[in-house]
Amino acid sequence: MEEYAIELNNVWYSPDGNHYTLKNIDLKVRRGACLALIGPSGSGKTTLLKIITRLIKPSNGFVIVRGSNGWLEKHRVGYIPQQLGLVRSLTALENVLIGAHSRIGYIGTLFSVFPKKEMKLALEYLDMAGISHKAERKVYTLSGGERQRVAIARALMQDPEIILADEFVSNLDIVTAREIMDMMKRVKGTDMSLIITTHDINLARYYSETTVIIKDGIKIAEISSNVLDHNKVKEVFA
Amino acid sequence: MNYYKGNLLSTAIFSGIVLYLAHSVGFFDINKLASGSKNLIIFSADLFPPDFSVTETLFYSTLETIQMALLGTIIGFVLALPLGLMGARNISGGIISAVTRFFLAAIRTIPALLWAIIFVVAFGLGPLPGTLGLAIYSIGYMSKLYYEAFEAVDREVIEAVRATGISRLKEIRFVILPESMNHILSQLFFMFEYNVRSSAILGFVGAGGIGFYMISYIQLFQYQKLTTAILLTLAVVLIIDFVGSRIRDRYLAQPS
Repeated sequence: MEEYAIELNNVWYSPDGNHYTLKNIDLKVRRGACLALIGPSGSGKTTLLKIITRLIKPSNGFVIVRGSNGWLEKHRVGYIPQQLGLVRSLTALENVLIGAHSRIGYIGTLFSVFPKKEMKLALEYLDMAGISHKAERKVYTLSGGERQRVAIARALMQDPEIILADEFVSNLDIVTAREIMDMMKRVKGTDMSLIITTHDINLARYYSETTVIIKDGIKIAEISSNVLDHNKVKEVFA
Repeated sequence: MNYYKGNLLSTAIFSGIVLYLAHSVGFFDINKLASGSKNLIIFSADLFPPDFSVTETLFYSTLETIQMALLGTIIGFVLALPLGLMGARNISGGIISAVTRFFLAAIRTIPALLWAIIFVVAFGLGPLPGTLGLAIYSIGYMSKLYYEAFEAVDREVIEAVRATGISRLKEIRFVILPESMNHILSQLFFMFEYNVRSSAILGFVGAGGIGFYMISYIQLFQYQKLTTAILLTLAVVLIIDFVGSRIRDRYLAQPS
């Protein structure tokens, strides 16, 4: 089995063919590892995640996303965007079940009729995320922290080998953010790889093994997260 | 030129244009306005009190108007949904949305009244041409509102769901439609209300409903009976508005 779940080699991205928002990015993420991407707003962190999810294609370079059995299917990369991307008018359970759609070809799912084992699984993930008691509540009635939990459960429903979380706890108070990150670490286990983008150096230090710093679309440093502190970041940015 | 001077200049130009337009249609013709106002007062006095002796007759023709409006709206809605999806650039994109938009713009160019006249010529007098006219107009109008609503769905939600590998059909079913449902239902009720009012006018050209009586009362100077017809139409519009807002409040998502 290959050691790396994600490999990016000489990746460039330009939305318009002229101005590059990512320049010559090389990145490797070990299977089961947690990597933090930090950098100022507009530095290209979200674009990088979207390239890994295959929502957008790089202008140059190549991306390899490996599963335990070779090339990883698109639907097994869980993506949690900054605003979570939940469908507000659906219930928490319905949102989690969206994560199962690509695995199930059954026509009944179009009418929200799911096999029993999928319903059970969705409820289990909601339970794991600590939000099963609000499974039937519409998402717009949930608090920010509760929505975070639903988004995680939806990602887990994809049976992912990789989860990409884009500043998904940045709008929460520090206690709730820690709770969510602890839960994330717990459900990640040892086989799942995780990339988080954050502005919070403490989150990067406590929850990731490696931190990559990006500025203006350029990777300017890759350091061990346990030596990460404000001085180090200042030093790198200088 | 500083910001305030620029603002003042643009306000002056805009005011000048509005005054010119008002002048050219006769808003400053005092004699005309005075005689018109006098006629309006006389006409308004003739409208009251309403003559309720025609209520039963008008009730049945109101039902026919509602029937035309309801059927026209439903046919329009059923066809407007797929056409709206085809017209939305974030769903269909490219040539499909461009062709659909052109087709819908062509439909909207012809008002409902003209559609009704075309269908009266084709199918003869009665509620059928009226219903068809309303349906066609509703398609053009609702499809436009729908593709605009579909395009307004949060891009991040669509991307997050696309990242799960979901099919395009399921994306429409579980993201586009639920996220736009507030707009879809609002426009549906608005269109129904609009069609009730429109179908009254369609009666003027022989397309059935309460409009037939309205034009007859006008031609026979029976304005008090006309008032009863207007009151009945108003009651229907108010009921639709009330029911529509209750349904929206009961079932739909609140903004967060």
